[in-house]
Amino acid sequence: MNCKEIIELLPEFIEKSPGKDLPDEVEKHLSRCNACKDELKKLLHIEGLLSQVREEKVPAKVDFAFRIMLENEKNTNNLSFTNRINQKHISLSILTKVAAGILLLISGGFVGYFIHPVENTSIEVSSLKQEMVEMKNLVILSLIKQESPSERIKAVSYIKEISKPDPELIEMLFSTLNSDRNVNVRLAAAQALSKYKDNREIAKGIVKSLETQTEPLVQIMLINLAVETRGDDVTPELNKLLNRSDLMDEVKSFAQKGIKTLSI
Amino acid sequence: MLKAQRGELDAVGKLYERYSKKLFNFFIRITGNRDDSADLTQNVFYRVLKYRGSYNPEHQFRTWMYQMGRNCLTDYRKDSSKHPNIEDKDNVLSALLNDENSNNQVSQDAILFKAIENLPFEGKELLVMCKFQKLKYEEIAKITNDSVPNIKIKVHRTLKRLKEIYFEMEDA
Repeated sequence: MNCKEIIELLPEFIEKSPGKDLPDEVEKHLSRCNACKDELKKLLHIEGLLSQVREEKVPAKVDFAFRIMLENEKNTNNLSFTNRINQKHISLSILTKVAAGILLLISGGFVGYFIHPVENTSIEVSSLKQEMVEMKNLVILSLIKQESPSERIKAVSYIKEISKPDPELIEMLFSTLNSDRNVNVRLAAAQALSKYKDNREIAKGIVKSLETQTEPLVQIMLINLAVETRGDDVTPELNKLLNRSDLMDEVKSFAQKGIKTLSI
Repeated sequence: MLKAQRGELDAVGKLYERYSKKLFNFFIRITGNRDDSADLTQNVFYRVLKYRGSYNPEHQFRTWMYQMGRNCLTDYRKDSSKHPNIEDKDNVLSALLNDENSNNQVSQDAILFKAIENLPFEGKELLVMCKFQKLKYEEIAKITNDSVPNIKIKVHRTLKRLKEIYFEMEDA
């Protein structure tokens, strides 16, 4: 075997038998050839360095962000309004109220149609639609007052299906975000509000909410949302957060990143 | 159905616990940048969450995870060529070089990382998978859609190149 062949095969030999001896042929060559011996030495040195490199720790912010993602996914797994009807554990009283309401509406619609056959039916339809909207609002507002956090989360997630919710519902979302005693409900409220962040009033409310939040997950979510709104009020608020002593370092680093993003 | 979905979500949480460190290190050894590696890791697990319906057996997950990791890397490289990072504060290398407690091991690592940085991308990826992630050739072949003999040749070639660059730098 010549030098070129030996050098070509050296990495393979090192890999195959790291502790064991090399084949006789190779050993013989190495004993007489300093160049190849040097090659082997260098390769072994590199292999040694590579094996000693220590693993880096995952930054806390990645763990945090993943947890938020997971929680979000759990919350949004709540079924939509229509699927909800198929679930067994729907609160019976609410279901009967909704059913009664719908029956009333339909019968009212029919009665009205028969009494005034010449009336414009499109007006009837739009007023029916309006009544449906009000009915949905009622369901949401009553669910939000429930004892169980999962009921309140459902209330919040129904709102997401409405493209232009009433001011009353928005107010409810904010008061849930700011004062609900359960973290997951507050997270769900923040997530619901994210849908309307293009609305200036809502964007302001999101930023303002940062002043009162104490849970890291909620803080981080709101920081990200606030940055997305790109309002003028966001950077001063984020700076205020950096000066607070009660905030976790990870949250502060999100705030810093947000300030950086906005300054570009 | 809801409970089953919740069950799967918790399984994703467990997968994160088991693999996030490995994945993060995969990225950081290739990119050398902590922030970017954090983003890349998050991206992969976001996709894992999104497409969780499709996969189950653990050894397939790892292969799938690395495949996604490589895809994310490709996107990242396309993006990076548009916005080159002149000021890379979160660079692993600069962290090492600025370390006041530099000892021999640290400076050797610094040279090693600098040498790795200079390797061609494909070789770098294979090297990281083989030597840092300690994946077997068979798995690497599955992940990269290549054959075991080809992978071996490429890894050995890369090792030799790495050795050359390293000792050149050490002498300098």
